[in-house]
Amino acid sequence: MPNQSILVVDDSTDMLALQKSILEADGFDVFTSRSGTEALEALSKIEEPSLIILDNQMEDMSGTDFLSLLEEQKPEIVTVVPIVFLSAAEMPSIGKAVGFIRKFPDFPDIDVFLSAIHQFIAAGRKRPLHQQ
Amino acid sequence: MSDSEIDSEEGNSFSPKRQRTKGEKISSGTESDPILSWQEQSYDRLKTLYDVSKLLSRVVDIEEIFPKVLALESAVFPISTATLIECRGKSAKTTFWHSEDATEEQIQRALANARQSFGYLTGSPPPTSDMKLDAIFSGNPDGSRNTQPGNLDKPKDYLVLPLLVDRLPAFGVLQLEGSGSTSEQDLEFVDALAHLMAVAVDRYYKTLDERELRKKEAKESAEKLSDSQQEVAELVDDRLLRESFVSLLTHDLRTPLSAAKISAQLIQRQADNPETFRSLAARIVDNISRTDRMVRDLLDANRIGSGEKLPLHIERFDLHSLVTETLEELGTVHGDRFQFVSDTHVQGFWDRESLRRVVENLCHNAVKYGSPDSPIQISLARKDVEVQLMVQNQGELISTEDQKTLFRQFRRTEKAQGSRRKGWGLGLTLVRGVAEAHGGNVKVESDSETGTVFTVTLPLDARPFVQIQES
Repeated sequence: MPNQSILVVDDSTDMLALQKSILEADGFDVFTSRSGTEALEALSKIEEPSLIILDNQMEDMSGTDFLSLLEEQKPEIVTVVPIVFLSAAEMPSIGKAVGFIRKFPDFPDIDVFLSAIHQFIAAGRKRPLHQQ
Repeated sequence: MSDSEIDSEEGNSFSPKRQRTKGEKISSGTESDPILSWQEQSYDRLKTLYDVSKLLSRVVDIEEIFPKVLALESAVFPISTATLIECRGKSAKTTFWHSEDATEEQIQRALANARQSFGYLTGSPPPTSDMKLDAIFSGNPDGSRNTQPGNLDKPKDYLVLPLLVDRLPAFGVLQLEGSGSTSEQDLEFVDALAHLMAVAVDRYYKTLDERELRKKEAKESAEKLSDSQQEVAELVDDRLLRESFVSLLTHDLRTPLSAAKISAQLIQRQADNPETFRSLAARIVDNISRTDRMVRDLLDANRIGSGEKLPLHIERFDLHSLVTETLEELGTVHGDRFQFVSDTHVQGFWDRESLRRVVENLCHNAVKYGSPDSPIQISLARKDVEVQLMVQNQGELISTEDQKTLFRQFRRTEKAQGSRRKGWGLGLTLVRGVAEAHGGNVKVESDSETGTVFTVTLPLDARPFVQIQES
């Protein structure tokens, strides 16, 4: 069975490297993008990922803004690919995303992080993800 | 003022010794007039004083009241001139009245006498004769005409009375020039009148003073209020800044800690993959160092904020080498943005780590806020017993308004705040704190010709400026 892939969007190279390490160690193929713009490009080139992780505190284009853009330009992705925010807020509003993972203390705990990832991917198997 | 008016005043609690019937004329004759008995005259005088006191019970301008008082007065004691000179206020005021047939000579003589008397009685220099009269009235106060022409050759009696309230010196004089001869009773009457006038004048000025005082106090209160409001606004402003700073801070501190934690966990989970250990461990060390630097910056900023000088660890080194090293490291993070345009090697005594931070902060800011298309130029220049480090970038300029608050804690220019770029607003605070701890300074210039230049000036030897530290 081919590996499941995850697209990680974050403007911090450190964060990208960390997530890549964790997810690859867990058996995922990981694609990284440093901005919303890069992510759009990447999505045109790669196969549909099983999950998209969006940093919600990016400088040039926030995760929320990217999600809106994605809905506009690639609505089919938003319908079938589960998208989660990685957020510094306690209770961010998620819009069309399926959920969020807190940067503190959830993300630094690898077990908690991976467990959430798996849950969100499973949710993605129910299609469509959102009520039309 | 007619008799009927006087008698029909309301609230007249004065019980007359005899009823006056309407139509009975008050003679304008003197006290020796056999028409009125002594008792009747006394009654008239007391009644007049009563009326005058009622008149003066309102606080009015002297000019307004003087003719009215004289009108009442003349019913009892006819006069040809009346002079009131007082200096209760800021300057001496002269109010003068003369009858219609008073001559110019008479007027001048009365004025002169009054002025002289004023000088004696008050101890103030008498108002000079060419001083403008503040008010001058003429005509018979009661509207009647003098029945006999003034006898010009006969010396007139001046009744001159001081105006005073509680203690000497007097603050003015009231001079009445009788048109006939005066008796002792007249004198008593005029004396009583003078007392009433004195009280009225004093009270008038007191009221003015009080009003001015109240105005002044109101103004001061308003100023104080607006100062307090401004203080509150600034405190709220500071608090908001600090709050957003704290949330930024906790995020920024926790990020490298998260990274360290994750790296440690990966080591645990990949015990069978020891090749990864080296890089993971390096990452841990790196992130902890980063956290430590942030904490140190915060501590230093706090010290600076409370007015303390930063403690420095002085070493002798070559500033040129330090700058070169630092720019190399910055280059790995930001790319090839920096040009070191100087070959001046300068040895001196400074705090190595602090100056590294200064270079890092200034360069970091230049990258953050300057134009990404042009290089950032760093230079060193030796000036006498000082050295200057300059960091220059092109791009949007810093307004003169912003320049004023640039180095303050937590301050970020509006442009900086507007951009989503994160920042603590401490960088420049630290730069200035370090410069000043070395006995130097930092300044900024920003104009369209040169762009933005930060210049840090340091003494070659900072040792004399440094805090003695208990080790």
